[in-house]
Amino acid sequence: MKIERQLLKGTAPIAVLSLLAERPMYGYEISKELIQRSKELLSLGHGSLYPLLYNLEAKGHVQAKEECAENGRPRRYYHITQSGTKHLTQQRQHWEQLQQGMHNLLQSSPQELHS
Amino acid sequence: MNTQLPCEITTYIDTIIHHARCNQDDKNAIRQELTQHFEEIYANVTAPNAQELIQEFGNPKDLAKLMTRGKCRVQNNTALNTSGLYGLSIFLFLLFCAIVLGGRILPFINLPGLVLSIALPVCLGVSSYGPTCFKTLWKLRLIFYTPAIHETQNSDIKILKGLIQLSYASAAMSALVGSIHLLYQYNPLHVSQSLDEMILNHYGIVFLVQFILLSLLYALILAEVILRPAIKRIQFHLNKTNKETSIHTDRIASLSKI
Repeated sequence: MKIERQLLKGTAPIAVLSLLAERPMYGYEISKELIQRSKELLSLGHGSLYPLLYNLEAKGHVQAKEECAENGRPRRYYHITQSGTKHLTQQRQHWEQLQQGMHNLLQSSPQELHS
Repeated sequence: MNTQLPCEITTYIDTIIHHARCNQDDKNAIRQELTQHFEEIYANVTAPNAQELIQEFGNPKDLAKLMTRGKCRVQNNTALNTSGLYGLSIFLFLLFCAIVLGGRILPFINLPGLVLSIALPVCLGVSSYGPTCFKTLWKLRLIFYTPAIHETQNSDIKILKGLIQLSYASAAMSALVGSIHLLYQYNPLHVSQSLDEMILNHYGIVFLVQFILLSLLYALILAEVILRPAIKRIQFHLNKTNKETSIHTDRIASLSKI
């Protein structure tokens, strides 16, 4: 089962930043990791990934650097910046609160809601 | 390029680039990144279907819009783009014309007549710097952004690009000198006696404003055309040196193992 694209839209920057917080990655690697780590639940379209990365770059959350891979292929690696780490921490807190709120809401029985 | 991409993919990338509304450097960066992405897919996935990949990526026009939006934000954080500078120069020129010909400064005098009788002889001699400068800049820009020059890695072409950048600088400098000359002609600080000189003083203020705005404009052109590519080149060379150093270190490490 895949998550709806609209639902994923708001979480995509946090997902990408959390991956980049571990190590610098290039575009294709990010999309592959996202699918693998989320056990194919989160799949960000390849087309939406690059505009998202450019937006994060514009906001100063990530920084792109051209580097040469082991196989000699040139790759554009994205590194998380200090501002990106700060933003990720904030967003994580918000996400946890939202998760808790939704959990409470969905777990409460209809009787409790009426009372 | 290690992997030869199918025709559909290259056409798809070309369409995105065609619809992207950003400067040539950014277009090249997007093209490079997308090409690398597809190359990675072709290197890692067994028998990928080009049509499916294209469908997965989405509509090229929409993608180009999103890419442009992202890239424009990057540009806005660093400097005004070149087309923005041209837009600004046209706006300033129109504003200047509106102020002078609209007669807001001296409403009791026939301004068009004065412009013709006073400014025109001077303009013929001196202020032709401005149009000449912009014409030169435009021509040079066309040469500078020719894809053939950008895509070639030949060192001669690099020298040519350097020369073009120098010409840009000299054109901008000559325009700046022209503006200073104009300012000197209509010096607002000069103590005037006659009506003619008083009129000239009013024009002096206009020209002072024009001078400041033009100086700002030329500074931006210089920053855009000279400094930004220079910084990029320095960064590129630094990256190259780092890569070379790491390659040497690896070689030394492998030799020491042997």
